[in-house]
Amino acid sequence: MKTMMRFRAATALLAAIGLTACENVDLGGGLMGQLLNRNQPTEASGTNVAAFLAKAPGSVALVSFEETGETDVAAVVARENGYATFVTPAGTSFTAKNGILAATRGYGNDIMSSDIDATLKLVSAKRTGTVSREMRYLNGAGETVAISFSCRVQLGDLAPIQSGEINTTARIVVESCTGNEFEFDNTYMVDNSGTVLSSRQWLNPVTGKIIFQLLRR
Amino acid sequence: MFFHANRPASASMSRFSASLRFALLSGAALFAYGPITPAVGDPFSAPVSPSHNMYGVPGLIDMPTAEVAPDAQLSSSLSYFAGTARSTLSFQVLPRLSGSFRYTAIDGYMPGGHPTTTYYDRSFDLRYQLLEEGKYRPSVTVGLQDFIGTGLYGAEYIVASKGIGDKLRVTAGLGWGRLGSSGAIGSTGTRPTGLLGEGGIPTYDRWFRGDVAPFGGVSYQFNDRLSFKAEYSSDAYAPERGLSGASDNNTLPAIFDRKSSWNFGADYRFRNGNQLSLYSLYGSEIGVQFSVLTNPRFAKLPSGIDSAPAPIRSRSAASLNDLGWSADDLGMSSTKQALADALATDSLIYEGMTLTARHATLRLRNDTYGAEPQAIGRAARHMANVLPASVEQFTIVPISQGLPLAAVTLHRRDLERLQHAPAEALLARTQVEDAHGRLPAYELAGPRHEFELSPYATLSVFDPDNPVRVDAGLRAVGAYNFSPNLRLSGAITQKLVGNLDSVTRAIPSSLPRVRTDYAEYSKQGDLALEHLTLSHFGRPGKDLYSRLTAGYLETMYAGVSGELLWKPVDSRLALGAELNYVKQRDFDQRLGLRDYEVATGHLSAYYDFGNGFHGQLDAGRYLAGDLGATVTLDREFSNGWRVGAYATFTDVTAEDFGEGSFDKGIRLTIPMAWALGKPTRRENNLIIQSLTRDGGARLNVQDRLYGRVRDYHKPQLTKEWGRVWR
Repeated sequence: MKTMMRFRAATALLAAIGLTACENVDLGGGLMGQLLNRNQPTEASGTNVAAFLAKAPGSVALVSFEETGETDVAAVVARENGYATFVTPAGTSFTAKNGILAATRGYGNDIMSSDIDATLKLVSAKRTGTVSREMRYLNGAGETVAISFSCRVQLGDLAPIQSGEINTTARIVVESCTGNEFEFDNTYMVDNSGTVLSSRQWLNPVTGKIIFQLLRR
Repeated sequence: MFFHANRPASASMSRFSASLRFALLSGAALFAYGPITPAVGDPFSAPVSPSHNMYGVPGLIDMPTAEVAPDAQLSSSLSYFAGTARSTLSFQVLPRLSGSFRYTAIDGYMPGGHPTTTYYDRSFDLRYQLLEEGKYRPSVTVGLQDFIGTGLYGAEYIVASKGIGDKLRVTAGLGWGRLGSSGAIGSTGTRPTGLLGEGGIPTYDRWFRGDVAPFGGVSYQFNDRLSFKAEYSSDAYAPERGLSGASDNNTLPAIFDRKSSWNFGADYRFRNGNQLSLYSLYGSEIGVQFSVLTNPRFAKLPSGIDSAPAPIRSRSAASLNDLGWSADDLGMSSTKQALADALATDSLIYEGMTLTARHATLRLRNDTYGAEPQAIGRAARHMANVLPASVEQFTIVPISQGLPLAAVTLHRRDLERLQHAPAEALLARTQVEDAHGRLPAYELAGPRHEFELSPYATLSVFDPDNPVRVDAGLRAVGAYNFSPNLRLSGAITQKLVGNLDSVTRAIPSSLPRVRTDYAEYSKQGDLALEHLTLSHFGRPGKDLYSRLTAGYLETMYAGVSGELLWKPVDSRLALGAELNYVKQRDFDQRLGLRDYEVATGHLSAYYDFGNGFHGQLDAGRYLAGDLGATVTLDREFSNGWRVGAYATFTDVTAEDFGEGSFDKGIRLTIPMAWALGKPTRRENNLIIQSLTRDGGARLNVQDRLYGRVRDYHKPQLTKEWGRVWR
């Protein structure tokens, strides 16, 4: 199995901030900024981040799981129709549309595909509103099941963000989603141009949330 | 009496009438593309099961309740009290219907001059929930306990259960038979005690007859893990206490003292759903029970933890009409090599390809992915990334034993456009056709050979002298493929340990001893040639598949076996014919043969009902020369799980067949990919046959066609299509 660097303190803090985010839209942006400006890990999943950055030609992101603290780096390997697919050295992958998670592969309860265009529109434009989203999974029997949510998008503070080669200020955007069985809050940090630089997004009820952080656009 | 490992599916034939074909086509039209279903409840964790009782069915302690297990749940329970050990396998066949198979050992129970001190008994139950629980209405279930066989546990009941608040549940019921034996309040006719036939057939003459008694109880859910129970039992345990007057099921001395009708207990539920219970029974005994729960509909890692597939890179508009590559032989062979290399990264095997300016047809072997659409999807991704931009159409022909099983055609533009869309969108744009005559030539150099050395175990259960016997040893399997369609295959086993040969009980048989000599085979076959066969697989025409096998076909028979299968690629119906001429092998399982020879064969019909059920009918001549038919019904899951039952009826009379009256059993297939979360085509097959007898016995020839062929046909591909983008 993979050996994972653990960032329990970091994720716990991030979780705390996330909770603040869902209760109060006036987010502690400063704190979020501080968190994201924390020292970059030098290693993730046995990969040297600096070396990985030097080697990878395109976008690079840091991905970690909130519950387990498992962290890995991922480099973009394909961009198609607005979808960017990042692959980790461990062979798992994430597909996102401007930072909004659309699919995962290799984690066991993967999002096979999703409808996230409405969320994407509001988050990229940093606008408030209500949207619906749907994520599709495989159930244990091997059949496709869809889970739908109704989500409210709200804006928070501006916060500085310093991550890898990125050093700028971003707007915090929170998407609060409610479905029949589950509910969650996704948090995004969106820069001036509308790019999601960092985020914390719900994957499924088993794995919980995933934290995404661009190290290079 | 055996657990057969990997007994292949059944035989086949190719005759069909015009009307049958029409029925089939209309059936195919009904078969809709697998829709995306909105998740009901939590699709990732199995629902909480009601608590199981000492009989391994939803219940209180020794009494049943009206609750039902979650659909498709499979439970195995083990309980013990007063020398009575019951092991029960229960399956929730339908949301309201469940079936159970139970094997019981009662120490000290010696009815009517029973020769040993332990009595073994098999029993089957059926339960059906008549009413679901409502706001004011209780759930109501009717049950038949031990309704086939000798009826030691024979009972019928109708029971109602209702929750009061979140924590308290109350149950009350009326029982007949065993459940009407204590505290009877009346009676409905007289309950016969004689046996129908040689046992093994439904005891319908007894159902709901005789004394009727009330039972009931309460359960209190203390917290998520712990619950407490109290019940009033209507079971007098008359046979075990030497009290059952008319029945010859009496024992002496009594195996326990029933001081009270009240039982008390506590259940502990583990995080994974398994249940451990401790009981106080009948004022004098302590009982324990443990249940392990599985649900084929829920897996720990549903989409698998294998590496991510290669993303598809779109072509540039300028490159689409660049045909410069197509005249170039060198370019062609390097393209083929590049595709072969790319497929190898996903453990898929390139066997050949025809490539024109606009169309590529790939000959693909998949030894890796149990979910066939995943193999198709991964191959298509590599084709889209490797082949020249002008190639617009991909046809993938999956191969098994040299047989082209389907021609799956995808458009490259759709692959590029739909790779992030729901899998169903691609399915709607995918054609699945017969591959007859469309197979690219085999390009790999040299013959292919395989060798594997692995441990094996053969289990025999239910012998009254020794309920579990096992042989274990090493098995060497080798194969040499002269061509993709012609295969020489053999297996040798060396027994290392085992007690299968210790069978001392003479098995009486008034039929030719076609299976009942199994102990002799075990005794003399320390180093045994399991099989040594030459097989040819072919496609004699559209929708037709053939197999011809000659040699030492299985441990007990040698000869020739031919099979023809008719299976249109989009059909839910298949018809087959199998004809075998075999001679019995020597007990030492080397090269010698015995005198017995027989022509045996079947006509078979296979039908996928489309709602998760699959039926099979095999009619023909069995090994003992008896004529008859086998009916098999399976509940199948998209992920490859199968739970089914079969029964064989032949012209052998119940008296000639002997104990059990006719052959019947349960079969179970567990795909290893479901358990491991990693792709593999390995599966575990288990057949629990109630008794090994000579009537209704079939040849166990390898590589029967149907299971292999249907895997890549449209109905099966559709079920698991969600994995095409995995």
